[in-house]
Amino acid sequence: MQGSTRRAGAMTDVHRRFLQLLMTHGVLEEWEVRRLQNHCYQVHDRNATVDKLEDFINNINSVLESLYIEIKKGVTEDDGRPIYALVNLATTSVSKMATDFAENELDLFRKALELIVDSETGFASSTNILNLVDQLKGKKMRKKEAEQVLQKFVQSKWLIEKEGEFTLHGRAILEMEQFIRESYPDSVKMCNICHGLLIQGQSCETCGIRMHLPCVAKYFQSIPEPHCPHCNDYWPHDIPEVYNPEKEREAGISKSSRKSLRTRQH
Amino acid sequence: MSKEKCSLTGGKEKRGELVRSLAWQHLVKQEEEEAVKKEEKEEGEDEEEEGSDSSSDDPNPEPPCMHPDLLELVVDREKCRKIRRQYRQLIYTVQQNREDIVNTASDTLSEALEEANVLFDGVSRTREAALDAQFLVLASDLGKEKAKQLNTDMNFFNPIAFCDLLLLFVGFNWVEEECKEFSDCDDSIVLSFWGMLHEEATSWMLQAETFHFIFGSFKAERSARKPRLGCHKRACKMEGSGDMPTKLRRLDVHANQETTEKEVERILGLLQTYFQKYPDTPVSYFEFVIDPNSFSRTVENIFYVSFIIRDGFARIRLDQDRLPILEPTNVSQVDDESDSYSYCRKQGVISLSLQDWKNIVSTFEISEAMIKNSY
Repeated sequence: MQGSTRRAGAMTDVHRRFLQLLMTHGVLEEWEVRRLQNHCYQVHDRNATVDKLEDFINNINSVLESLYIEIKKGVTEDDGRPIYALVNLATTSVSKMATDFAENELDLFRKALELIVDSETGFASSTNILNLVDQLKGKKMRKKEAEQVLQKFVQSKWLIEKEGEFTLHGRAILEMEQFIRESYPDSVKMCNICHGLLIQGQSCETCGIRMHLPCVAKYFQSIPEPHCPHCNDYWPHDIPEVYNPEKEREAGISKSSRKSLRTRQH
Repeated sequence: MSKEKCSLTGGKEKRGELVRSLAWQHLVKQEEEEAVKKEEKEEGEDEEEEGSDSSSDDPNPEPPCMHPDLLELVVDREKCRKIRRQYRQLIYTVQQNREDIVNTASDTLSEALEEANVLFDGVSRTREAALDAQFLVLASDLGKEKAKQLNTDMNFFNPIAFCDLLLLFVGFNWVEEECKEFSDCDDSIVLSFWGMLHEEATSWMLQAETFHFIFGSFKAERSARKPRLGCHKRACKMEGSGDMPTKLRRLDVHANQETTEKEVERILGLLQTYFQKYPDTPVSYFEFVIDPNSFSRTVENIFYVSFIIRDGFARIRLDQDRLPILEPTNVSQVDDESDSYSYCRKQGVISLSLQDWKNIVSTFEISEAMIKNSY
């Protein structure tokens, strides 16, 4: 780690372009990140050897450190796809001003976050969120507007909507993990396997421990009879499949290529 | 004696005055009625949209004592009708061209307004003025829409025009290519298009996208977290009630139906207990449905009872006084009837005004509702 930081004097245009692309997208899946990395090398430094992705990102992070910004790696809570997000780590007077959202919109997000964290499932229904609209701080917001604001949060990848229920996007979890742990110490849930923040996952019906779906998949991968790692009782839930990038690539290759074309069009 | 006489004559005079004023009132009233009649007649003529002179065959000749002003108006009737027709024509054309007026930067609306101004010079009666007002309402409505579309940024962005320019810039000729959809084109053309656009665009967009974040935009607010437990409880409670948010509207409708069904069942229960208590006396329909304290409850009860009748749980019939009564349907009868009048469903409409309801309450001396509120 230290070694790579030393070496990081060589922050080149390749890195800068990569960082700019990540700033544009906010959050990207790993395969997209690899593609962008290659693209950046193609544009600026064709002959250079492509760094390993981890080193490449550490290199950038060492520079970002002093700005309290970091490229963080995580996995999506539902299917365990690896993602990278550029996140802000500090609350400063500048960060408070440089927000994309109005005061009441932020308050709506915070209320939604509260509902999501407090809920058993990690989801908050849009109805419940919209019911809190009257209590928002700042300018008054109508329910209709609040609906649009929620959509805005979905579009900018802070929330995910599934059938009228909202949960946190992986990007939001990566950025807000510390905040959530500190702000909601009583209701925050942890994964028994990776000890990370858990929003949605499975829980043992006997002892109540919780596990991320991807963690469940990995942990029970080769065990025919799944038992709770804590109380050893029978694990009653479906065991999800372990995320396999190769398989995913094969299945989604046509879809993803089309998607990337479309994103370029915008 | 003389005093008495005097007062008597005074009284006579007074009475005479009274009679005169009564006569005058009567006259005025007659005039008014005639005016109304004429209005109605004119209305009919106007609807036919024919300009033929109809004053000659007016069945009611003007009474000789008509006020001169009114007389003058009668003379001008033809003119008034013409003005009205012009107003209607104006309103019609403006309504027909509504889209054009709103969407294009033409002067059609102000021209129409000027036309209306000219027309208004000839207006002397309320009817024409009312049409003028109607036109003004329409015009101001259109004006509002136009104002909404006003681009205050002083720059227009027309996406279609932009596309055309863009294709010209890249050197495409759409007509030559003969492909209607971008996706129909050759991949190489598409790529070269985006390539050229990319080159041009980069020089204009040297600025990178700014960094977006959400953590750090919150103001530190630890104090707000204190009433945590209450919040938590509330959140849990709400979860129980609203687990299907997107289907909420549909659920609501369903719930509404359920309450109707519940009410019908409740009322059917009341009716059946009555029938069991007094198997031989049918219940008077009005006494059953009328709630002497609430007209709206009465209407609701009628609504619910109609379901009971429709579903064949009770029959409605007229007794010897030709008053509606409700009686139970026994199974044997149902069988008979299903044979004789098979599928012959009768429909009836019950109208009940507030006054009817009051009358029924007093006539039947209903002091208490048979169907009590469930809530």
